[in-house]
Amino acid sequence: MLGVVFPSQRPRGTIGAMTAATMSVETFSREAAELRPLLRAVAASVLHVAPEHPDVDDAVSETMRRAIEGRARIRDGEPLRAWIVGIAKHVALDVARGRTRALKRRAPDATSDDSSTDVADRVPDSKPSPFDRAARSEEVTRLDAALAALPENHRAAVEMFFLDGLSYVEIGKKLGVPMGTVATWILRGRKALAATLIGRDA
Amino acid sequence: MNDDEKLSEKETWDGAHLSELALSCLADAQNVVDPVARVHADSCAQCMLRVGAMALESHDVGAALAVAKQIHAHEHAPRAHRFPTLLVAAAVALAAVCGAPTLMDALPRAIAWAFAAPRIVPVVTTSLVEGAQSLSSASVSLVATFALALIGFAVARASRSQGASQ
Repeated sequence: MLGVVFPSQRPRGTIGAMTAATMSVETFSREAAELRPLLRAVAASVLHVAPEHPDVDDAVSETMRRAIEGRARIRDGEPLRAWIVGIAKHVALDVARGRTRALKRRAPDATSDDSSTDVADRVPDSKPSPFDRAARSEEVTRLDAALAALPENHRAAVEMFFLDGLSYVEIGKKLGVPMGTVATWILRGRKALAATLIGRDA
Repeated sequence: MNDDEKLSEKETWDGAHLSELALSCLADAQNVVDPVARVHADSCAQCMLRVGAMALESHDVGAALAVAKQIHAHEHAPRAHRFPTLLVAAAVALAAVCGAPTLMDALPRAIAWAFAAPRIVPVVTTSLVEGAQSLSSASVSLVATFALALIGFAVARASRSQGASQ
């Protein structure tokens, strides 16, 4: 049974499990559509354009199409949010590359000062290169150290959210603290871990 | 605490825009921000871009943690194909102890055979040569070719499987 976490399958703020492979396209589309504003934000952020930009709509539509077609590939226990944000990131990068190629075709000799043309170079692709694989061991060591350096309750909240797929409300119930406190712990924990990951590229 | 728990207004807003905490909740697709704040996030380009950046950060951190968890699980998993050196050594020792009486009995026969070998080998060799001469040379060549082909096939398979395991 695939324990995929869907937004509307839960009481507000909590998580429910559902089978992506067996649910109808309509049900899945409805669930994924709830994430549409988030996908627009991700696409606009990757492309460095205003959310109203036509490329953003194209990227979101393509993301939804790929998500619906590939919904059977969601791994057991993987939150829909994380899975679909990953697709949106790749789609937006594809759009950015396509845009760069189109601009180069139109003006091969011109040096454009439009900062959005080199988006594909600035945003790292998450496909692991041989170098990434070699550096992974070191990265895991540093990530472990960063995780260990977090206060115990922050670490617990981060692990429950990212690894166990629990919602903020569920984590609050487990740890006996208000949801706002959990949100703060996860925000701080994530920032610390993200700083470690950025340090990898430095 | 209930399932409809939301961030307070103070936690949600930072002046005219959403607070970092509210943006983080939206980036993590948590249904804990009130509808007015959601509408703002959908219509304010600045807040939306920050939500997008945080969602990407959250995605990367989640992916890195998942990879780390997978690596740790792999490190701590028992090695399935490890050669059972201790068991094999124990089995050899046991076999040596149990087989010792039989080996001792067989020792005189082995010595006798060793002394007889110089006389047996020429006889066997002569028999084989005569047997081979009695067969037609074509059939001998055929059998030899077949045997060589089989040996070549076995060597090729062995080296391919060795290459794959490295």
